Amino acid sequence: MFNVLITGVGGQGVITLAEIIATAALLSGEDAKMTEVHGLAQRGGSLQCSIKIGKNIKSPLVSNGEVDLLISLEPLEALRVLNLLAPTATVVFDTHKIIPISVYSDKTTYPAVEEIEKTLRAITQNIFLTNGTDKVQELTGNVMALNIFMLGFAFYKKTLPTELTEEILLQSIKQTIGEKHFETNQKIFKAAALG
Amino acid sequence: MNKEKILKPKGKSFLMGDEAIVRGALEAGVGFVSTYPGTPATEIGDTFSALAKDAGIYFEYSANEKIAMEAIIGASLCSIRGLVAFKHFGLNVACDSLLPAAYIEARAGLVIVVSDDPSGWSSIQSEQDSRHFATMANIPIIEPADQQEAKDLIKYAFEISEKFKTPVLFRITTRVAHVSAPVELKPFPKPTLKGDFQKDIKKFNAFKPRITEMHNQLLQKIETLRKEFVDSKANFIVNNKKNSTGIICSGVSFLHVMEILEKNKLTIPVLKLGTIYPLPTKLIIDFLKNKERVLIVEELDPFVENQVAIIAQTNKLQIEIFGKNIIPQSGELTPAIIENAMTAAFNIKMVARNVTLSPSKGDIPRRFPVFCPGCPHRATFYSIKQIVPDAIFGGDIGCYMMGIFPPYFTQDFQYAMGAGLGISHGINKILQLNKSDKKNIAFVGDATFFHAGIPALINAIHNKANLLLVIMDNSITAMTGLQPNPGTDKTGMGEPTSKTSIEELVKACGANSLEISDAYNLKQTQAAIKTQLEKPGVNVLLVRRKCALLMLKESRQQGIKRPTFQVDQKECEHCGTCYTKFSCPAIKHENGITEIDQTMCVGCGVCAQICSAIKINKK
Ligand SMILES: Cc1ncc(C[n+]2csc(CCOP(=O)(O)OP(=O)(O)O)c2C)c(N)n1
Repeated sequence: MFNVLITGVGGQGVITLAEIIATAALLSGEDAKMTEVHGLAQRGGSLQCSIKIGKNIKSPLVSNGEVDLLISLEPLEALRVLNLLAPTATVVFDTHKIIPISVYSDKTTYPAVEEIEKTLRAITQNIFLTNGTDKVQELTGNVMALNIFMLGFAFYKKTLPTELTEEILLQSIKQTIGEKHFETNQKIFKAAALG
Repeated sequence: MNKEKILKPKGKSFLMGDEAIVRGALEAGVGFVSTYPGTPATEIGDTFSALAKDAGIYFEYSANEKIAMEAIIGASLCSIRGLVAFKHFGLNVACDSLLPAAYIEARAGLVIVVSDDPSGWSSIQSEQDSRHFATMANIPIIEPADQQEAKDLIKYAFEISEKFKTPVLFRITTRVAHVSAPVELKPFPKPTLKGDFQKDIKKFNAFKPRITEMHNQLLQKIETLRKEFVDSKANFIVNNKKNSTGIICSGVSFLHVMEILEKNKLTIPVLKLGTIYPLPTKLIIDFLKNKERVLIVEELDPFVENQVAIIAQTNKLQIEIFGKNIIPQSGELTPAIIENAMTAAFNIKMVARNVTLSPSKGDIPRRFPVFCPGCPHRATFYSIKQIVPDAIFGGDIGCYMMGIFPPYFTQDFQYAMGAGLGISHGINKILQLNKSDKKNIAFVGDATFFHAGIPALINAIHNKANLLLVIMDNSITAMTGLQPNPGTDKTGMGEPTSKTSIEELVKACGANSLEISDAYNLKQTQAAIKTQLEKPGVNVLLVRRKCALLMLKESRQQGIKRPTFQVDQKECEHCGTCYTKFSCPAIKHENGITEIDQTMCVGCGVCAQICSAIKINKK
């Protein structure tokens, strides 16, 4: 069993990314179960979505200490799920901060990205970060495809199960999001090879 | 939405529980579907909405759940198979029409899908367990554990409904509705909408003395169902062998239990129930016999447990029953919780779980849901706070409920859809009797106004309240994902229809006065609030501006590029109004600099009305 957790902020494409990974798992001949928590979280709240990949999957829930790969589309959201990470987990995250408005009313501080990385290092050394948001903005003029970039980044850093090949992932992107934006999405996926 | 994966003739599809239900209903030959949006059941309606035309069935978003319920009763009286879906609170609303529907025999399958939401992932009103409605209404409940069962058992629910001429409650929870898994599909028939109403005045009324007679028939039906369910394919035993312990479970709990057993190589017999009311007594007795200890695993209330306890007692079975004495009755269950209960009940050791770091919650800034950039509700609340920061704010259910969070605090209470006005009225009567001059303001969204706000408005007017009703009309049902409502010009099947005019309704209800403003126009809205607060009686302010998500979606479809705004650093005086009082998530303040995140700004321009240092980005 390989458990993936996608975190981010409502509206960033967390669920779509999870769907792409789950669909890719099925295309590779594995089974998958995915569950998301949205609704209220959709409006800019914290969002988490898990995918279990393997055979004979029973419970859809990923328990504490069971996440093998965390892909976080936002730095702070990676910190929120430390308890879910396995000791051997890999963490991939985007460094572009989306500052929650609570910092102004609660008078809390959004930690520096280096701090976040340090905290994560207490659990695992397998950490990869990138500024995908800026790169996607540069490439497409908006940040809607950050999820695709992060998928590419996770792939090129070899953090995904080996059955999920480039070909399968691209096919899954096409199947999940549709033919219409495929050219752009493929470009973004491949751009992530450069980090 | 990818319709293909649901409509394809056969094979396997990766489906969410809600989507699996849609497919199952099509396989069962459903003809008529109605719904009212509410998560975790929203995707059932949205999926039907997307494919109803292709599938050749009728679909509607009704004005509320009671009407949705009534619509499928009507269809079933015309011998068309009907399905209605809503979230748990929806069943509360529909309940009044559900009870008589059990008395009066259904002419075609009538299935009610209700989704509970343990832990309230998408619900703020209560953590209710809707299964209790079935005992009150005397109708059977079928409950699936996973997505394959969700699809298969919907068909079974229609079979039971038609065989016993009864509505069937199909109960799911978040972890069935919102889990996706591969589902094996079966072909589905061409649906038929050929039906007619045949009069039968005696049959379709429960008028005295028929009422007790019909009630008795209903009670007998439940006893027959109890026997029918003994051999139901929805119930089965895993690890069927002689053993001193056993587990009884239903819903997603079954999957958690199986995961624990397999991980720990345990072979405790498990009775998995898919028909949870009425319980198949004989099956339960057979399972309990020769066992010493049984653990009942179910989310929320001890619904199965209480029935099992009664069966054990009336049949004098000496058995120790564990359930809610060691499993929480609130919140969603997890494998870890169940594992602990199994350890306690059966005294067994389990494989140790990974030890993990717990995030120190206090250190991580909270990220509660917020109004989207460009949301008209933020602008309206900002205006309200400028004029009457201390009024009593009657809250309601919709995106505006995020007004409970800082810095707005414009939802002093929240109960149920439409309740904000009704409760404000009650408060206002007390204030009147005490000669208090506090101001009452109630908020309601357009969908919620149509759903349950109109009677509350009529009541407040008739009973002489003094209050201001602010209708926050973003011209869509936003919170649940942009569904149409009676105020929009398209039906759930995408057909053009007439818009119901909120202003005409307000006038017809007899409100003392009505003002209309644009939420994005702060001056206009603030002036209107002032005017309306000075008048006696029930006055209404209709603040109108399209939901920002909808606006963005339409801009994208039409290829319109939205402008963005930015802070002129030379002019910024660092007063903090924009990020502490207006609080758009696109405006960020870090290291002494206030900036607008150009990737988030949607160009509503409201912040530029608050501060002259904010200007349109000419690039
Ligand atoms: C009885 C009931 N049905 C459905 C829901 C789910 N629900 C929550 S908010 C909402 C719609 C709100 O729409 P509107 O009032 O127009 O406000 P908006 O979200 O557009 O601001 C619905 C249907 C509920 N909470 N209670």
